[in-house]
Amino acid sequence: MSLALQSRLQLRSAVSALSAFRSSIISQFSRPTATQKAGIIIPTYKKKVRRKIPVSPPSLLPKNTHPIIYLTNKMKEELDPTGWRRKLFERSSGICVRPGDVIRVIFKDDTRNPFTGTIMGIKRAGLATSVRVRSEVAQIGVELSVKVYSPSVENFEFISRATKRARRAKLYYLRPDERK
Amino acid sequence: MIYLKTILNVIDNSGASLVECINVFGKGNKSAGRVGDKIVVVVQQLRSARLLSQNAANRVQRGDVRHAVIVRTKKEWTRPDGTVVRFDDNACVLVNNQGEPVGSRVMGVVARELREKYSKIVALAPKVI
Repeated sequence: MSLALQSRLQLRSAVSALSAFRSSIISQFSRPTATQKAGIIIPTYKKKVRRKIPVSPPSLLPKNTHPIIYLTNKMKEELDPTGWRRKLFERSSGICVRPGDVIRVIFKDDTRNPFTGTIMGIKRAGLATSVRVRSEVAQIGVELSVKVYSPSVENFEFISRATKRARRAKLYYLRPDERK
Repeated sequence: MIYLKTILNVIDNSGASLVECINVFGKGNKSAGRVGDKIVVVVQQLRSARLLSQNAANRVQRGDVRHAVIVRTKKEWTRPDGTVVRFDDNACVLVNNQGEPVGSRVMGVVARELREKYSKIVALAPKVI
């Protein structure tokens, strides 16, 4: 037996002796858990109840996924199963429409006419992304801002690219000049 | 946003071309009239004679106080499906006390919001947005 092990064993026995001595002192001086007084048991000590810490169930999300991004992608998949809207309006697709391009919005409701016009701007806001289309109907300018992932829209048809790339992100200059 | 003193285009063949709003029905002093609201107007300017309706009794005079329905507004508004609509001008159609249009034609586009209450105007309009 090595010297180190021996000394460690000695230390352990010393510690156990000390703890036994300590508990004997405590039992000598501590009061009983209940005292009998005129036939009634009065508890003097409150029973220690350990608070139960609730444990949440394991996450259903795939590992290292942001919940909002996960949910957005999932809902986009649901609202746009063919991926056509994402192709048209997400920059990452590479063929994304730009301000100045002409598109046609076709609605699910048959009583609503399709709306063809120039894109004034795209407001990129995840699922709430909307496109503002402007056209002239019977010599009157009309602007329609449509949510891209709206279920009330049947389809977006791409008509033509702008002849020259627009230098602005929002083409408010298409509106008539108010100064007279 | 149509309220007292707003000048509106008239897009029917009643004879008026510009009218001034003097009251919006069903609104207090502070809230504005929107598409589909009935208003009281004063005829300010008349159309040239060739666009007038044949029926002389339907014709309006300058200074006449008439009822009208707002059919287009410059102020954009949101529909229940999230679509936002905006026109380039404020326009109305003159109506009688029963809500029927005074003229026999409607020139130009009107909003879909009129469908239920003013189906006659929608039927006369060449385009509905």
